[in-house]
Amino acid sequence: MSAERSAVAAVLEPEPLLNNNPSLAAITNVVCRPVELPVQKTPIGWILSFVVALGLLGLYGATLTFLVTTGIGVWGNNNPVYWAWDITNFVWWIGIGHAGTLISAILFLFRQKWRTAINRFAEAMTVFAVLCALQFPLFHTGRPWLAAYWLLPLPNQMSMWPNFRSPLMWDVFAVSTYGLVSVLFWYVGLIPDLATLRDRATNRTRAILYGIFAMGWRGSNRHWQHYERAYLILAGISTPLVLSVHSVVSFDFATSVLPGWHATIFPPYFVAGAVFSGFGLVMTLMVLARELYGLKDLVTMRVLENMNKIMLVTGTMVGYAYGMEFFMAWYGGNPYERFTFINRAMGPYAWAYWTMISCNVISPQLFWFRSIRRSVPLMFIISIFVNIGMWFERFVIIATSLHRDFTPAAWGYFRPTWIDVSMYLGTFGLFFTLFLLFLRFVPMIAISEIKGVSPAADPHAHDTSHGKEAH
Amino acid sequence: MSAMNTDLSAARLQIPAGVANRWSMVFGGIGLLGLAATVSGFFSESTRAEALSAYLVAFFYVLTLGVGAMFFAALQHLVGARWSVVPRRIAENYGAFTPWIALLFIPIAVFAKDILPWMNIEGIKNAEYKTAVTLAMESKTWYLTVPFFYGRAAFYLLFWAFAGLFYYRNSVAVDSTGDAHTILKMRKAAPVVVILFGLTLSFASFDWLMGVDPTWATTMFGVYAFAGTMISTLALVTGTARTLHGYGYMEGVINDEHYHDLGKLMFGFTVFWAYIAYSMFMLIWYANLPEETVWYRKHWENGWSTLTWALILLHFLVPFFGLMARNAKRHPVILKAIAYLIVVMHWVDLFWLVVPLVREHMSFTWYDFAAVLGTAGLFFGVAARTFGKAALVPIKDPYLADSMGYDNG
Repeated sequence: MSAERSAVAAVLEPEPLLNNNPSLAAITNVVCRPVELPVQKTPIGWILSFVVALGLLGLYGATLTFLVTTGIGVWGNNNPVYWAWDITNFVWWIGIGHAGTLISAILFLFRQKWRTAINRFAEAMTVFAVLCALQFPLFHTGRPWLAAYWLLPLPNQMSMWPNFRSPLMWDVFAVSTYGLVSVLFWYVGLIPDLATLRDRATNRTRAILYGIFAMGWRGSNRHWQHYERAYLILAGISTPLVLSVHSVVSFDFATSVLPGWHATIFPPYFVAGAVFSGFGLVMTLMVLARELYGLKDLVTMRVLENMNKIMLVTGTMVGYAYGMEFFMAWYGGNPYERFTFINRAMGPYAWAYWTMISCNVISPQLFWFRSIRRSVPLMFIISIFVNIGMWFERFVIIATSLHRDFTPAAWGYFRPTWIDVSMYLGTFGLFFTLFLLFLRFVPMIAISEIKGVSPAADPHAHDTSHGKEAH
Repeated sequence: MSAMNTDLSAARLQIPAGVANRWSMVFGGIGLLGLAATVSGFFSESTRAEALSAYLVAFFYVLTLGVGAMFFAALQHLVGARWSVVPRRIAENYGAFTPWIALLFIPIAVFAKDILPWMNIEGIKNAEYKTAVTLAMESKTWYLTVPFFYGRAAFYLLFWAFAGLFYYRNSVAVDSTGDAHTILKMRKAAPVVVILFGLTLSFASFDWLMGVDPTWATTMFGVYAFAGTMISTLALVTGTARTLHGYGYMEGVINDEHYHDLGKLMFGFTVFWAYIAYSMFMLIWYANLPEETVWYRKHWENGWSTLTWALILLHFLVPFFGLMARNAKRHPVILKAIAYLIVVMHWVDLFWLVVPLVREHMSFTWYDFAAVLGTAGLFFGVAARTFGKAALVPIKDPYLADSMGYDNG
């Protein structure tokens, strides 16, 4: 019987989720170690990265000061390219934020146990990426201190309630709901691990601080039961949010009548692109983190390979959408629509278009080869291509559709100013500052969840038949 | 693999050939009668348009069920799913229908000129005055040519027939050999099959559904066709499983956990279908471009709004609220009723896509029912025979025990 099973295993069975069969204590130790290092033993790599991130954050502060005191005219936006890097960066960051919820919610509902190695990490990225995304519309208002009033004008004596028919308004609701639920989901997942850190604390300050955030978690049966119920409900709520957020973002463009923006495929196409880019950045950062923090037994090659497969799938979906847009522009017979697409591929922004195609459509196709899916340096490089390509996708959609208006008198070309560039770089400062703090103070892998999929937690681990009694 | 875990000896997993053939005769008989009645309508000028539109809808209906079932089987191999080993054979059996789609295509191929207006494009091209219609048609003469149209159709039909039989035959082969390498072969073919499925279904929906109004186009159309295919296939597999179970088959092999999972997928894809339908509609409504909105106008005026509301109610709201509760997904009657409701509503959905474009006032003719009884009768007639040929579950699949012992918690 077990011989038969192992014959099957050799052909079909995937490799184990965790390497070297770590014990429960070993998992706790390896994940808690970076968080529990004494201050003087903080790794030099972390300190240097943090200094760079803080430098960029400082640049961001300076840029914003200049931007707000001068006005957003210092951006490169012009007539006819009224929207450019601001919305490109906004959509790019929102997209990055999609991997976290997909991994925590959708993959949870699909019982993909490998997700436990990366979900905490990706959820943290989601929260920080949404924060970075929100910067752009906020500062695009020019007077961010009034933005809250514009969005919710109470008192309303000027009769300027927001226009509920505007997709930009829907964006506010969609993104803020998403941000809120993501934070909640992340925090609920963190509670058992924070309690672990509290219980392991070697000094009183740590015990009190982690104790406050652990909210009295004792790991009792009742606690776990409530926790798992809450987790399931949050996963259920988050699942439609994964689709709705980027669908609503796509409405910003698709509700218009502009050729290149008005395409009904935009909602699912944007969602696929968002998941694609989210996985791209999770991969970029995870490859580094697992090397630096010695997590190779937990974030195994199987996990990385699965992520690469998801990038292959979503990259192919994005390719399908590019193809459909082109096909329908041609087939539909609208001359403006046709011009826009030919202009994309052969006009002044052809360089951006082909960068997008190479990075988003061609590069993930390399993941058809198992050797490439399992090569850490190659997946790192391809994930960076994906990040670049997805930025260019948004830039191509936005700038190329706008820059040649319906009459040639209204044609132009967008060039970013140094303010555009430093603001974009600045949000990286914000993102990495928060992310590095996360790596230093919060367990980057969900300890309790990954223990649940480890062989040590499985009472049948040594029973080679796996199955239970037939019903 | 082990008698302890997968004791199949007591389970009824084989439909006796006599029973299968009897059902095959019943369904097939209804099918042939329906087809004969529909085809008779093709030969009279006065009824041809009605009968052809009815047939096109009915043809695409069984096409999506057969191809969708093939896709479901391929998808399970692609992701290496274990929970679905028990219900997978049902999909494989339906997927073996795919070669018959080519046969059912013959009337479309013969009478294409009468249902696809662009086939008369020469006349339009030589018109003295150019209209919006002729301009919109001229732009796509490279794609809508007669040889290219038939060439594409041949490719779709060949691919579906091949893929449907590939998954059916290999799976049945494993029943006697238990060879994991055969399963590996199906797994390795899955990504290519899934990609080609996506492309062929999209372009078939452009050619045979969207092409009924060749002046209109939208990028979402292929995704909409996929959403309908996916939800109806899931519903068909679920409903069939419940029905067979009701007759005492698969007892002790299929259980509430499988129904629960199938119900969850049906719930998810009900929402997905509504999401795609709403996005397509809302974006066209919002932008309000006349060349696009005209399509929805045809689906709204002259009584067609009734059918639109019926679709919203019965293809979305009823399954959505009906499947939400855990108990409903595990309830034998509720789950089965909703599954068959979706299977029927998928036909209404396809009817709604096509017929308002060719029939001004909302109406059903007896051809509409004859045609769908014809193709669906043939579909279930062929399927009934297939169901009788092999066990109702892949009895030697190495993951059958995992699937049988799975618990949703």
